[in-house]
Amino acid sequence: MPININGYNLSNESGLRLGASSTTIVGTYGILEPTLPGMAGSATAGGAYKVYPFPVNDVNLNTGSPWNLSTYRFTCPVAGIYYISYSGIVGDGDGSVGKAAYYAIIVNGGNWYFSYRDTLAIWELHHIEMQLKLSAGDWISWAMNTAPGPASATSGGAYQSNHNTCTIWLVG
Amino acid sequence: MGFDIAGVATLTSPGTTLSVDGASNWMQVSANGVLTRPQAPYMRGQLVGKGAPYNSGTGPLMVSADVNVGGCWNDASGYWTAPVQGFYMATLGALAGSAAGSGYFSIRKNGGDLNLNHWNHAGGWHYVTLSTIVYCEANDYFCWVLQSVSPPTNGFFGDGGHGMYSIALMA
Repeated sequence: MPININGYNLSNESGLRLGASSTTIVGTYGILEPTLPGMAGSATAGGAYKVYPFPVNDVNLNTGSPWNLSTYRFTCPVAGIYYISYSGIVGDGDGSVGKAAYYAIIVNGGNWYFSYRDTLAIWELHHIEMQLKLSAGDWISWAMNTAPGPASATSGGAYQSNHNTCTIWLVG
Repeated sequence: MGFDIAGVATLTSPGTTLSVDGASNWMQVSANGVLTRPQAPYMRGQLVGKGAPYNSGTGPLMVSADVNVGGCWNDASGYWTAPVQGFYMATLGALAGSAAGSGYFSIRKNGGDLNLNHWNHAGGWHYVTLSTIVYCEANDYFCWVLQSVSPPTNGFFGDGGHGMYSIALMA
């Protein structure tokens, strides 16, 4: 018999199942949460190194579809703490050094946190990551050396033809 | 009406979502099963007003919190104190420089180093990252530190922006 909490059932279906969802507390393994909001993907289509939003067009994971493949934004379905990571090669691809550039995490169209890299060689790897506590409906994107993030005068930015990995997921 | 669990917690629901202890909302499960922990200890911040480059010597990096849920981060000491036993994810992103040189940076828990990282740059400012899971008992404490920076005038950019720091209880 389920436990009915004002219409919300806690039931035993190969574990303690929470309501009508597929989230289940199971022995040994803890909580299984198949609907955990998250995305992982890459920008693969090529284009300018200085770019906003960073166009992650190829996703291998997009649980609940928080990542929009037209606007290149992640919209938070619930309030919580989200882990955000971009890694990829940067510069401008011409092999020269000194392509100083800024790489920013954008929330609701505003610059929240940014990094900086002054390249010494072609195809250097850059990585930024952060945990942000956000509200439902807030949205996240990346700006690569252009507004609404900081922008330098150089042509530096982020390579868009693969060689990058982007992920956002709910962690708390 | 809530469902009382031996006086420790109360499960409540409007019918589609589930909350553990509705008043403080320790945990919530949405209608489609997404679980969140609104009271999870958490901080995010950056180095502000410390100069550039900033070198904290043998002491903690004095990160200024922009958000500090639960008050676990202490701006004055540069330490995170774990309020409960658990696994804490800590991320660091910093701009190291400003001249050619090298240095170590790490998480230091209860006075001992964890996850030592190193940079060695030929020149200019270069961005470095460190992310890890730190297991803590309640009241364990940890911080971010720089060590053996060469030349000693090098360090992290400490005048706002150009870096990002966060800690959150994972489980």
